[in-house]
Amino acid sequence: MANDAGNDLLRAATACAADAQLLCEDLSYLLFPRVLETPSEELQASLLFTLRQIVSGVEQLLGLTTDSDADPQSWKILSKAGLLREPRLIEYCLARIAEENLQERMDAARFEPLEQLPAKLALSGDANLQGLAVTFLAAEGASRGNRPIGIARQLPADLLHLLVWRVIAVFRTDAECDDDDAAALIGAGHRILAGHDEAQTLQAAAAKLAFSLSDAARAELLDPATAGIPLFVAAIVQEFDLHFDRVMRLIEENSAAPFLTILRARDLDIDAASQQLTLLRGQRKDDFQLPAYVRSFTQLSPQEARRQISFWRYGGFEN
Amino acid sequence: MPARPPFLAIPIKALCDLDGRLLSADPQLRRLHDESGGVEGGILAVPKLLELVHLSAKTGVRVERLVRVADRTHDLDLWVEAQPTVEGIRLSILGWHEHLWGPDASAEAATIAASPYRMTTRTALSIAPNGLVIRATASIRSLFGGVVQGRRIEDLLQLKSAELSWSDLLAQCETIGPLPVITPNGTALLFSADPAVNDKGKLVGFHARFVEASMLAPPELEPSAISGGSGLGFGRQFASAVRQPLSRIMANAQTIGSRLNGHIDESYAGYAQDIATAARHLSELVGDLEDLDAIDRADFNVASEQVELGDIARRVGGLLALKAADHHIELVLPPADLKVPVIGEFRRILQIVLNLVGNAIRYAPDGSMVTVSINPQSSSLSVSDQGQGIKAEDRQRVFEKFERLGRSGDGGSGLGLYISRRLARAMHGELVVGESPEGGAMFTLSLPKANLI
Repeated sequence: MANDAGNDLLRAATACAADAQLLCEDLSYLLFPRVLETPSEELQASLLFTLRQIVSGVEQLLGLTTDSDADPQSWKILSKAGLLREPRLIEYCLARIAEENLQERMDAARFEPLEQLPAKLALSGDANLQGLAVTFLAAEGASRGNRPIGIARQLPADLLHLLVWRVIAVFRTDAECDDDDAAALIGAGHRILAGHDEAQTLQAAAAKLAFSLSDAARAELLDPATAGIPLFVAAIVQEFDLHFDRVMRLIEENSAAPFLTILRARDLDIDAASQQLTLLRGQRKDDFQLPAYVRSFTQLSPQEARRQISFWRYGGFEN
Repeated sequence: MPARPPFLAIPIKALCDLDGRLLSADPQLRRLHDESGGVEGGILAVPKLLELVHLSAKTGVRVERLVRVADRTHDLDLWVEAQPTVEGIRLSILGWHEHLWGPDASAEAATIAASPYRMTTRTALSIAPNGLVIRATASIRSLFGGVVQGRRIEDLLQLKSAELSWSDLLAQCETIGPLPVITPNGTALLFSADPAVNDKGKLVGFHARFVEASMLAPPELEPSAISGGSGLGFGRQFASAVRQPLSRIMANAQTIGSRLNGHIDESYAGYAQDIATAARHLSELVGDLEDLDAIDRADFNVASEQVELGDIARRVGGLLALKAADHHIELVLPPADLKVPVIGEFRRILQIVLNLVGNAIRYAPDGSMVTVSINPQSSSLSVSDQGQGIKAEDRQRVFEKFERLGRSGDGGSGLGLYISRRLARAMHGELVVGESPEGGAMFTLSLPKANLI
């Protein structure tokens, strides 16, 4: 009996692993057509975990389950139907993984917590800023806790819409789902979407706060140690007209070059850039080319760095 | 820079139907719509705003996002809310920040205007499928002498070939050009554009770039310029012409090599790094030619200022530390408390010492030692290595133009020492080569002593 259960578990795990492998290969092909390097096993595992959490969160929002630890009921069909090969969804998940990695590294690098800028703004005399900072802090709390519902509520409108209706479609095809159940599910779907407010998501809250600050105050966001990662990224997004998730992934990219280019474009000197590089990326063993990057950094003019970034913007990575 | 205004007390509002037709709008939004080629009751003509309307209509979700658009004179950062209602999608612009032509635009335009050759490889124009210009960079705006956004491409650029038409070219979802075109003021350009498609594969516009046609045929130089008699010398003109394209080659190769645009095979990354390295060498050669041109001119002179040789040595040590580390070479610098004040031009002395130490690192065996020492008595700086040294009979030749002593393939131009000696002499100093105590080469730069520092 125990042996059968073990075999079932092994079979399920193998199927999931194969799905994840296919998913990552498809994704690699879509994102980087010339790819020959596949994502690491660690990244594949994180990707699979994040995707399952999102699906599970959507199921909970729809009232299909209350068990956070249970496997999502629609997972098997959704994965077979190719939903989990949606490039935009994968991009989103990869950015969240990058965000978590960066946050973890930054938390580990700080010996004592700094008073962060959002908390200061929440106590400022400006009612407008106060409101925005409180919204941001609430979104930050929601994104970190209460998983998996929390992560589902953080989805941008298009992805939430996609997942809600795909999950509903899976349940509607179930033989045990009668017309009343289907109508109730559709009603729940509409309610979730109508009640969803993108402004309450961490990305939008960070972007709105960055947008509303004066230029001088916004410059403070460009220090990740005091601004925190989401606001730091939001400030870069605003300065260079890039996409939030793309910046997040560029900072966490295996190569330090993209982040160094961003830092150079902000006219940082090598010392300040190294500080931010170490804070966010740590001392990576695979940064063996760092001396070369540092050399490139000093040779790269801020103007040329900005020009490089404009290539990223117009090179198919536009918002 | 003025402080950013807070979120607008009274939002700028508009109402669109579910297809994106503009039903009503406040004047500021109406103006954006009109300037982008919109018509009364037509589809909202500002693409980024239309995207938000479609997103909100499709999902039924209230969406709030930062949108960057442009009007006739400014780039605009707008904080926009799109809210589904029973009447349609209500657009509210809650924040509105204007900045004229972007942060570097004026500097970029000045750089390009100062160059006899203009080349723009970045996207210079974004064009809608109907031929309307949605966005333009500052350099291009200056080329057309004013407002570009909102105008039609056929009004801005005339195709040289009478057999082609803009409407036919834009109708195909394919790369356009390069094609010769002419601006209204007669400037000849080469135009090329790549199609931009949305995630459903639908054509949403074109990203266009230009190369000024003069780039292809260098202008005839004045004989005096070539001989170096008056005006800009050939080296200077040559350098200014090729520096920008070279830096673009370097930057692009660096981008590819460092996999900024995505992962590529190791060997391809290596080829890109080779291209970047070759371009860097070429760039150094161009710099040398420019210097050569400058120092051979009759009116060449250098500034006289008090400079401290120990400071120069330490700066050079810092600049070349990584290069030395790459070759496992130990760079020995003079002690911090030893000071040798001299008279000369700071950047020229730095250039000479960089050349000497760079050469020593390049030619000394890996794992050896390169020593930079300064001597207060002779007001000189010496760079010695543990390499093979330079034979006595070659010591004069090594300062001649393009002299490589039989070496090749190491990225040197054979001009560095010639230029260094000419610079040293222009500062009333001297540069000589001898033998170091360890048997390698020892170059010594001596300069007039300064009494005070």
